[in-house]
Amino acid sequence: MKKWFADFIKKLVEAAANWIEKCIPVYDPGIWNNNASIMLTNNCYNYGCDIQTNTFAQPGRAHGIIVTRSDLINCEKVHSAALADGLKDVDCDKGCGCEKCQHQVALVVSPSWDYHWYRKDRDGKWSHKMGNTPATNLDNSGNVITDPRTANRGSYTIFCGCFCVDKSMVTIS
Amino acid sequence: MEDSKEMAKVTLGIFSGLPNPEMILTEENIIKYAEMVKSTVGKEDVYGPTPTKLGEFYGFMVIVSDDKAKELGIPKLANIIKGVFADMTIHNEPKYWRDLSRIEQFLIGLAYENGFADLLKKVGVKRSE
Repeated sequence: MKKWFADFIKKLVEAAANWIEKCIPVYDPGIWNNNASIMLTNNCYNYGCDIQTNTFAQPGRAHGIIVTRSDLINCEKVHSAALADGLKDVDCDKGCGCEKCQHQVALVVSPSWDYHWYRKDRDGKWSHKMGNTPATNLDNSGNVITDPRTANRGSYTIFCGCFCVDKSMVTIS
Repeated sequence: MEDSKEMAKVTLGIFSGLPNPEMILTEENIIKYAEMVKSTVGKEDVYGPTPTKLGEFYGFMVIVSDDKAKELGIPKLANIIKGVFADMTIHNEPKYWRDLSRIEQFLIGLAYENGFADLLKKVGVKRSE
């Protein structure tokens, strides 16, 4: 193969890799923690989607769906609410691939109590933000989260599944 | 705070995803709160509380309007949990004080009176006898 052609292919691959990488959020908790107003008004769903609305965003609310505690006996309502917002189901092990600019999130439920979201960051680890508290990459045992399915999640015992977030296609409020 | 009547708002950190319950302090309770805060801040500094875990109570977040905070000489933003009062006026440099005035118990009492007893009990927050 000619050298110029090999260099061209290499640069093309690097450019594609950079483009994909830029679509996946970096674990940078300061963006969420350093400003009190941002920290207090953005929750796990905002953090998961990597979209600051400053409204404690609720799955489905932007599309007229209201999720309440009584809906959380299982994943069904909050799952369909997230789909209405534009999130897409994905196999957790397959991930979101490289066709579109998107990142991966995971949904868990504490039965009849609450829901919670995790986000997969560029380093391949997961992080999350519990309500109005600071974002962190640690689980309830103090371990870095390598897989939300096996992380210590306290009472959030139901693992609902993974989703892809294409920020240009997702609307939350 | 947009509503001038909302001079002090308390958010109960119970949920991660769902909206958290809130209480608006009455004028009388703002003054009680302010007295307790002034008896706490500057007395006994402590390390910050251990980080909260998913599903635990995240504490009481108290936001006082700029004017009222200035008038009463108290922080406009504070978090109270696990016997520690965190003055979060300078957000990145919170100052932690032992809750000598039992502000936390005062807020738990108000939350119970406002109908949040069941929610608080579920995250292990009980009113002292």
